[in-house]
Amino acid sequence: MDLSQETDENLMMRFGRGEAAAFEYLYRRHELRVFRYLRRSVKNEASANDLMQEVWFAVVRGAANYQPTAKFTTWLFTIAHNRMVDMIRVNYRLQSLDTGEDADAEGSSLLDRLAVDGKLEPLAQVQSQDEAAAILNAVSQLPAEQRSAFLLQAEGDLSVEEIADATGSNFETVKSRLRYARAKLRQLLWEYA
Amino acid sequence: MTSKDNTQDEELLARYRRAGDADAAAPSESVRSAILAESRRVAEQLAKKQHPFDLSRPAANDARWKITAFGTVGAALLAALLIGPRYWESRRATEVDRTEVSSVPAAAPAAKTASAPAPKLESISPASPNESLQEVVVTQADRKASKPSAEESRQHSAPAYSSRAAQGGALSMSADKLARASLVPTPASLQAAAGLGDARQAVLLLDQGVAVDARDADGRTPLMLAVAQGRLEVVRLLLARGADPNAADNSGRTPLQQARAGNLRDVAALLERAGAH
Repeated sequence: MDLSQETDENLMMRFGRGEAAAFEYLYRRHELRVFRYLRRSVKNEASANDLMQEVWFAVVRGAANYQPTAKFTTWLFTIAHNRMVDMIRVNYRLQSLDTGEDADAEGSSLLDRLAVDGKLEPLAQVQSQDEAAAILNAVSQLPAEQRSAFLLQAEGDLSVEEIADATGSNFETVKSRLRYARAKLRQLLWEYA
Repeated sequence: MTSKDNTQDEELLARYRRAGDADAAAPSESVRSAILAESRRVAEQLAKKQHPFDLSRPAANDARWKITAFGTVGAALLAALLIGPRYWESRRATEVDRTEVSSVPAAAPAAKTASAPAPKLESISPASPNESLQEVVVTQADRKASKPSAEESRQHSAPAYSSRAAQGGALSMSADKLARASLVPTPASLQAAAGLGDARQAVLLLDQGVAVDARDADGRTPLMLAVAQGRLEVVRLLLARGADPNAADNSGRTPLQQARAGNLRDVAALLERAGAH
């Protein structure tokens, strides 16, 4: 069967049987979406590249035991999200060591605290940019957890339930994060509407 | 959430995706190469796991596999040669038993026996009646001399019988049937052995103390049952062990009358020599 017509899950199964071409096709299909999710989550090109490698290595090495019990993209973005949170946590600890601060035990509040420029900037700062740049900039200004939920929906095509599974949050929390994220984005982008 | 909100959400996602498509963000070429190289390495391992035996390579013990293979085949053939005859013998004996058992009920009632011809078991009958009788008598004498216990008799009777049957001897009962019949030394067992023409079993039962003239519900003695079936050897044996040649069943019929009615001249002559009238 032509690889282009195969589902993600079948491609992964074929790779699990030793078919390298199936993985290559799968990688090309999701490469940019995963990278954009990571890049916009960590806001750092180098870190995003490191994470990208880690995420796909984990996918490759998990192929032998892969069972298509859930959507492949849910699995993929769950790995991406977890790696991203791990990296942020490690970086935060390193920063804390430098500044003498104690690391926060709670991962969720940590994400918020680590959100670079978590406060909303005045729209004036993005007015000079075109709409695309403005949108991406607006996304980057969302608090970390709202941004992560929004990106998982936008890049990973995950449903609210799937985002809840991927991030280890409950359904209502994710729904609320998405609602706040959209409200803020609309607020930031009203001029471009 | 209203439909207006939904529309706005979808529009927002669409705008984001358009912006994302316009964004040139992509992983570095080195990362892409590393990922694809790792995938090829793992794929190779996974492919090997699917086919753990590489048939293109010669076997490590190339010199020995022939010895092992031919040795195994040889051993199997040898086992077949040893087991085959025993298997064939037991099947044959089972078939003979089936023939005998099916013939017994038809000939059992005395009235019917008188008119029915004697059963023909040519395939298992001895080449010479005298020869087989000698064999039975010798066996009996041997047993008397050695006086084996009842338990030993039960244990050893079956295999001894089998080997004789394989030699085309007079005894026609299969080993397992013999074992079954010899479980309990009762008059019924002796009657069954007499009807089946099993002289060896009859000897064993008599040695164990079963009465030679034990009667069944119709008043028939083992001698009558043996006569009804034309079992010359068993008739000879029972007479030698003191069976009453003139005993009559509930209907008043004697063994000699049975033999004459069945046109069994040898049996009738034997009975007359033993004093039957």
